[in-house]
Amino acid sequence: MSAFNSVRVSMECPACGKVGPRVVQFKFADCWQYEYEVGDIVRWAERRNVGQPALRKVVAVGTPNECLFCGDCPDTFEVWVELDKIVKVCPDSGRFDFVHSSEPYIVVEH
Amino acid sequence: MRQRPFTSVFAIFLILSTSTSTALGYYNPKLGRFMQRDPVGPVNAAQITPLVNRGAAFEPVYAVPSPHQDYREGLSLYEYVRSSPAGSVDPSGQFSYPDIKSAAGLAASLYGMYDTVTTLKGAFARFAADLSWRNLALTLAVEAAATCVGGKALDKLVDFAAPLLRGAADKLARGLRRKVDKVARDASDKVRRAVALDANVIVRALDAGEVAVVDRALAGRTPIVSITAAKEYLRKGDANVLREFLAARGGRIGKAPSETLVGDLQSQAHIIGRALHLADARVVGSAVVESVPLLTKDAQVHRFLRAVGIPVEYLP
Repeated sequence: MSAFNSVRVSMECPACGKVGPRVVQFKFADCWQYEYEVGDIVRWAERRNVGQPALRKVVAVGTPNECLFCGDCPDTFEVWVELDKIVKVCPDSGRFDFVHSSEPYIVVEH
Repeated sequence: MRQRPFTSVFAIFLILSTSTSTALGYYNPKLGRFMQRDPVGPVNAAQITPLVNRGAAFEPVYAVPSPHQDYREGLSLYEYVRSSPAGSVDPSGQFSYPDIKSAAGLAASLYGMYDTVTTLKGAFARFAADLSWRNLALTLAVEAAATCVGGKALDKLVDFAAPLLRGAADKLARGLRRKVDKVARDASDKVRRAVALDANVIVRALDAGEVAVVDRALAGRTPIVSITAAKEYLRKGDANVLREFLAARGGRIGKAPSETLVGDLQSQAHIIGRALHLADARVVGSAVVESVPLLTKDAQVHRFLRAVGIPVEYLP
């Protein structure tokens, strides 16, 4: 697999409604298993990054772990990055076609 | 006693170019005949014993009585083997019969060799296509016997030998089958003892200093790293570190999948509503080509492989 990063969040499970920790994997910027939290600035390598820096608004496909309470494990979350800063992690809104996207992210606004 | 073989007759021509007395009698090359009567002399029909099936591989000389049988070698008592020295022999001077050592015999032998080679080629092709050792060995043995010797009389020999050959072939087949099964088992064990690693696992082992965690997941199995995963790691990792990691565990770089396989994997993911990006598909494809499970930390890929039934292990 291509390497990924992850972001740790505490959020409400869309299945059971309980709030708990979630680790969401995503592939954007320099992917080397860096662990982020919401508000962190993503790192960039000199070469072979996923995407490009300083994009105004990007949504990356996120893959969450299981819910600690109900075991629910949705396929897709959204990881929002604005100007290289992780601003939000949320369940899949359904607005973006990650399946047919050639990249593991979609540039919403350049 | 007369010597027949074709070459011998010519030797007589050359060596005894004039009428020369020998133990064989007189032969005049100019006349092309012996100067002494055939010792068999004229015979009457009552004395004739049809030489049916004399020898195994040739036709009888006199199967049916005829006027010529009054003289064993023809109407002339000075004639040798019925004027057919190239194909017959008369070592006793009493009667002639085809010689298996003659030119015809030689041609037959050459054909036999050709036929044997053809038989072996066919047998090898069957061997490659189908490991039916018993049938192969039996066919080979029977065909070889038939080719090398031939003739109706040999049918009896073949009939006699067939059960023995069959027993030997069965024994050979059992032995070969055991060996083939052992090779197959070894190969299967080898596959079971190997596992493909993705870049994330390598990064975790070699860059995050968690080799022990990865070793536990390996559980003694041989690590196989696809070219794509290796390149991904080498983007920032050290090639020597990766090389040493693999060498210490008997590991190696995995085979690259075909682009067709990569495309098929991506299509399969799309069909079930999942994303599988190119680099990920190549890593999965390599594991598929190697017929080993994939050890991954990528949750998305893990779920896809589990959904489609491709062997996968997840490293949390």
